[in-house]
Amino acid sequence: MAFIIGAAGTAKNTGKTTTTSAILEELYKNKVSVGITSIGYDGEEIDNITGLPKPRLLLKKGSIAATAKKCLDSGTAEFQILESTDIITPLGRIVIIKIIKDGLAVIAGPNKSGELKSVLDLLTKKFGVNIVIVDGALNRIAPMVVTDCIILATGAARNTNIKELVNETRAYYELFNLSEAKIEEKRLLSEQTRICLLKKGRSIVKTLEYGSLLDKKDVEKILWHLEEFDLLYIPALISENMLSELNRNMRNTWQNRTLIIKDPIKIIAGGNPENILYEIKILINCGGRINVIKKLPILAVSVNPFYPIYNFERNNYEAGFVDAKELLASMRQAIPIPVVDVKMEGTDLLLSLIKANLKGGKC
Amino acid sequence: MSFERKKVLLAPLDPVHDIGLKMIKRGLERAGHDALLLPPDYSQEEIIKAIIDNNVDVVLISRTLGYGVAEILGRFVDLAEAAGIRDKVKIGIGGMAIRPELAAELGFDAGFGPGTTVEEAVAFVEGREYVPDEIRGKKAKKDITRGYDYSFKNKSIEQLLDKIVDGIIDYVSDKTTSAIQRAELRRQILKTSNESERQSLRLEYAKLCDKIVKDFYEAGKYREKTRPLLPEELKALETYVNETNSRMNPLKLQHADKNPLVFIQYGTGCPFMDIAHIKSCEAWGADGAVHFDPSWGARTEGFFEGYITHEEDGSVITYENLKRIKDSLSPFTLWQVRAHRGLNTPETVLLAGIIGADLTKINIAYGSLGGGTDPERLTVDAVCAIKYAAEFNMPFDVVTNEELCGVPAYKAFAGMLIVSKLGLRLGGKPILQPLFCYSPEVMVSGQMQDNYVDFNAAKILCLRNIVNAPIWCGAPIGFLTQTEDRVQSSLMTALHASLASSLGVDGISIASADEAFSGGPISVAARIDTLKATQSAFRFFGKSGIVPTDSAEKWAYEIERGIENVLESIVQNGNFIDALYKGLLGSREEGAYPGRAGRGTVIKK
Repeated sequence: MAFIIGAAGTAKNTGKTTTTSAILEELYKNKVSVGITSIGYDGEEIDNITGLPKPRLLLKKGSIAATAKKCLDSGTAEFQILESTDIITPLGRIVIIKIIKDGLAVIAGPNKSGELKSVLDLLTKKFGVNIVIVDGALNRIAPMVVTDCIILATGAARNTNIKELVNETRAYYELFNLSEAKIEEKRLLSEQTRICLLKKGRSIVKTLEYGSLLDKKDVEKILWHLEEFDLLYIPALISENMLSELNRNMRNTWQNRTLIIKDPIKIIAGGNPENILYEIKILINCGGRINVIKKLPILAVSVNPFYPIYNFERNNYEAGFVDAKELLASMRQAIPIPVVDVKMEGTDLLLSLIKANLKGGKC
Repeated sequence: MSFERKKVLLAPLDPVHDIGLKMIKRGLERAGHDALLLPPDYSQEEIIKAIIDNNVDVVLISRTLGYGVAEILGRFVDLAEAAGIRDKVKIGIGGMAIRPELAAELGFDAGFGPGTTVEEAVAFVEGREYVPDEIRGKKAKKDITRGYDYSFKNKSIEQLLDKIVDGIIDYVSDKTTSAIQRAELRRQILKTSNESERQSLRLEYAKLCDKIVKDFYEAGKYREKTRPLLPEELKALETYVNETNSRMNPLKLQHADKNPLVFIQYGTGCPFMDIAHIKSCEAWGADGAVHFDPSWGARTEGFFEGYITHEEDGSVITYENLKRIKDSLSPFTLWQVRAHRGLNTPETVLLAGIIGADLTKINIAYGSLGGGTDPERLTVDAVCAIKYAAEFNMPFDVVTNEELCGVPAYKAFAGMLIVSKLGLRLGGKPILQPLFCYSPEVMVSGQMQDNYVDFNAAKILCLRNIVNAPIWCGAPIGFLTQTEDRVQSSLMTALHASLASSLGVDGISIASADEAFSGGPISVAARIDTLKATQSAFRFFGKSGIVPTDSAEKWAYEIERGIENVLESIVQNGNFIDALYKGLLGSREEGAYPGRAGRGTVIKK
């Protein structure tokens, strides 16, 4: 069974591509058939914004990749085009290529979840890839919803204050790790596109129209029917403010009520993770429960002490570092999943996690 | 593809920057789409909400980028994705630091950086593939002579011209020159595929040449300060041209329909350098390029062969040099090879015609009074050259550079009109080329004491009163008003271009900003100065114009009377060539000296 790992970064220069490269290298050593794509434009030589050099991905013979046509000429890897898709990106049409001679490659794949899903299906079902790595993009996490789990890359480039960075990462961890709803609830709700109000015994008593993004009017509608439900399913994007609005009105009525959301992205995209987590804790403290239909677990966190410092005199960015050991130790203390500094420790730990998942078939 | 009306939301993710979006909004509405522009203070969530509420098809975001702002844009796309609208709505991002790579990284469907046109944004909205080299695609060669019937309004001038032309045609009918014979041999040399025949034709050709050219054909010797281009240089040239063409997106100088075509002049001596100058000028909007040959070339009987580079000014005319330059031109560039003076006039026009030049330049009066060629010789050669121009359907301009020697405009114009009428009689398409300059005549007589407008305008008004013919102001416009100051020179060029445009002429030749005082080769940067200045001037004036004072009409009338008097004196004199020697079209006192090159070389058939 194929296993899809997303490499997501909390900001540029958090080591996402370094992590991806390191994992690739280890997978090659273990002769695993590897597929790769990206939801951004990773692998360029120079960072698009800071002008600092960035690593490129070394792809070995036999790897399958999905990338935009304009990127094909930029690498040194020799390839054969297996299939040309209908997906068009700012860098041209996405094609599936097979590497026939080792070399560096620039990977810029589909950048929307729907398109990413169809490319992943192609890679795994048609071209038989066992492990696909989806390289992330700048502060973008939403398309990762179609992966099996993510490796979250964070570091000083996101925040040089280690304490704050750890708190944020912890919040991410908790949000991504929200537990899944019961099987029968999932079965009942996974295809629903409207807000659903359910009563004990889990039958839908009411469905409400909404417009993708939960707003005040939607909250009001929910509140009108407060007496009619004990389970609330919201498939929409819920911003931090709307979550707070719900809490403000339901603080005394969350008791024995459950909120189910589609996936963690629907709340993570909506604001600051710590604020969102704060609202969720209020909900839980008020006796409520929150579940997701599909979980997107974080397999591991990789940390990077590097950050770019802007030099005003030279009008360029230079390399800066926070205390690497302190960063690693603080993060490990706060988060109960593997935390690695790929540059300092290598990828053994990550690889063993991936192997375990491959055997188990699921994160 | 049928038109599909799109609903577009334009949102500035920026506190102030929404000028670009306002322009795009106007473009979209003009193209028939519904465009809604949000105020600049919306939050990302509010923009997402507006997208949903308005059920739009396309969203265009603008944002000036700095570090950290990219994260904001990434988050915006994530919000759209999480809201479930990413697959339904196309999202484009525009801003000063946006490139396609960044748009891809941030998850947008398209990225629009600096220089993005409204049309490009409209193409994105309509789902059409935008062809970035739209100007290249749109830019096409324009026939300067189109729409002119050459009818004479001044019938008395026409009658006088006809008499003079009758005399010229009669005079040359039993005469030929070595230049005419060489031209026919050149045609055969180029035509034959038999190498031994070509070699014997070459030797025959060599016999008709000066020693310096004969030495080349017989002993392979090159003239001093010239050498053949090396194969690796030619290879590098080919690579340079291919690479330049592939990344060139030429500008358009004209803003209003009436703006004239803009020509530049080149002749660095080196074909490679010439091509680099032409390519740069093409990129910055020039419509045409004029080939300048070396002055010694005009005084030497016969042409060399092969790819030849020259250390000094003027690029050597050979079939190969011209062909290489022609092949390097963009398809929209008008190309003129000058043949207005010198001892190789027929062959120059023939080569230009065979290679596919668009235009040539012939003028007996200037060539023999200011260009150094014997009047009789040039008259006989020019008739042949005009016939070649007609054969290859190449319009030719009749330049009046003798004004720069000191010849008054009315005399120079008389000569121009004679050659033009001769051209018409021989089936050619002449273009009048009055100078837009601060000539010695006006320096002495004071017509430009107050302004540069009136006398230049008078010239155009006068010509318009005489004949319905195309006018191309030269060469270059603003000559002798420019200084060593590049800003001043560019401004002078731009103002003269504006005046020419205001007067509705068809073409202008412009100098670089360092042409008058370069003290050596002119630079590409200085060419761009005047091209950009001209473009800006066209933009500034648009369809509006410059209004001359009453002096223009008065002087136009005086020039016209002057022309008529000169033509009458030539008719009374009885022979055009004799009139040239006698100074009726410009005297020694005025600075015109009948040329001596080729004197006594006309042969009775």
